[in-house]
Amino acid sequence: MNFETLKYERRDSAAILTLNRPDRHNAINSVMARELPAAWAEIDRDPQVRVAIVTGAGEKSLCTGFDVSDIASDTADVKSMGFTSLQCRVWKPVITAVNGMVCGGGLHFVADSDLVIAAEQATFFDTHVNVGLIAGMEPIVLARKMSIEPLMRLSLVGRSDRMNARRAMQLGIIGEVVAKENLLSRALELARLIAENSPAACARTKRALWDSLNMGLDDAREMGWKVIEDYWTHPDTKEGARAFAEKRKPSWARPEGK
Amino acid sequence: MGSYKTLLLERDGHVATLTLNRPDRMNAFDGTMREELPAAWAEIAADPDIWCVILTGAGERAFCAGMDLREPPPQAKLTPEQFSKLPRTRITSLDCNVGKPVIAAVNGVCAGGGLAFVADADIVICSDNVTFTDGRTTAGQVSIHGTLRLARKIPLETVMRLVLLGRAEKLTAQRAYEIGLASEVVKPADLMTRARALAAAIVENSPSAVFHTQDMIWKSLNTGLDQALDSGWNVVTSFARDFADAQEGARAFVEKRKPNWKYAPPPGQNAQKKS
Repeated sequence: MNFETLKYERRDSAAILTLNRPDRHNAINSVMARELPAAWAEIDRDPQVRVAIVTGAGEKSLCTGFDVSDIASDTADVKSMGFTSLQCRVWKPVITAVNGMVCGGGLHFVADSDLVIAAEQATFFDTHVNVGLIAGMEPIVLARKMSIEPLMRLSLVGRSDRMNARRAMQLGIIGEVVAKENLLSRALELARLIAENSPAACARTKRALWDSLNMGLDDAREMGWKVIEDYWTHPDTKEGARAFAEKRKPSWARPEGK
Repeated sequence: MGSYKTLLLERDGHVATLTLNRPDRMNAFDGTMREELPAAWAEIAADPDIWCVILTGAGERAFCAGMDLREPPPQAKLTPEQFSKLPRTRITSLDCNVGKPVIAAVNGVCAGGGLAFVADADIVICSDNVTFTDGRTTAGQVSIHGTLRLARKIPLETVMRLVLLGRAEKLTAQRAYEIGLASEVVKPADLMTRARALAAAIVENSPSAVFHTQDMIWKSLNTGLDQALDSGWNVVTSFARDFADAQEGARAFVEKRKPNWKYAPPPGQNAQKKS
């Protein structure tokens, strides 16, 4: 797949999606806003892809959100967002590898991914209110993933208050901090570990967890039970048990797209 | 600013400081403070010059010790009939629909109902010697006020420890930082300096963008995630259309100058006021 603002490559069972405007801190312009949903559709479609990795080109930034100079001239163009796997309803596991600064709308990739790891020099902050905009989407997802106070602080104080990778790890926003030269190899290693598991079980588990955030706890437990019942006849349930008994690697069914 | 018996309310630029002021009673709230707090919050809510609030306690020992147990509880002198008609206790900015950001500068012990101030604050910083504790169940009271919001703000095990162990459990400043109840732990002498620095950073930002963002995050906890994101998207797009600050912010950024923000009352003030 060829894109103007993204680099898309497949390595074994992982798709690596690199936001590729390094001279603009990989900020999202109107071209990237159109290309991201197309990339997610490809990830969803390609049965070879088991896991997606999102990262940014260069060493400075993952993504600094909307390109403000672009948005100032061109707000009416944006009708909805399809930047992330969650927004595009892609249920394959997604790892975001934060290679540097991430702020504003770039936080979508942190909020909406399943696993997040970061390089030591990564920083997290939210610039919306500095430029007179509401941080009305990213924090809503983050509010389900972390303690509220540090989130409010990010969203209300703005660019003068930056969270480092160590604090993000402490709060559980990210799961690992690694040296920048090891970031992508670690993301690929995690992708390989995930790819050993049943793709269908991973996708349905992931989806059930995200869906559970749409309802009260008791309703979520009911929903979860239905997911288990529906899955019970899937070939991977038999194959998993058989492979375990026979002490061999399981041979999973092809991943289910949408 | 109005004058109060149990509170101090001051304003400096766009920042108001509200001090719980009964230091000899560890700033516990008595009947007077329960009446004065809604009045002070109403004053803060209505003042277009106030964009951010610092909430703290007088003295060095306590931030707020909760309900003053020396006073007989309201139910002692009322019939059950009268008691059921008592208005709800409204002591925090969220209780009073202020809709402006609140920084709690926790200067000392925060106990029982005093936890409501921390639960409902947007930003919490504390002195390194403070503890958080909830003696309500030890005193035969249910722990509800503040507790239900805490359960959405921090990991649940920590909340359960506080409420079930009662007076025996003391959450330290360091632990409060680790779990994300507070975002900064400082020496007592630096507490107000840091609170003012944070407030100064907040009032540099568009007040309307700050008010709407804060409102969206709190409201998002009332619904499922997808529904919250749908409402978030509606607010983001209508804000960009209807509020001059959205255009002014982008223009000032491109022109590399300070933006001129316009104050508008926070959306949180439109919340339905239930008695």
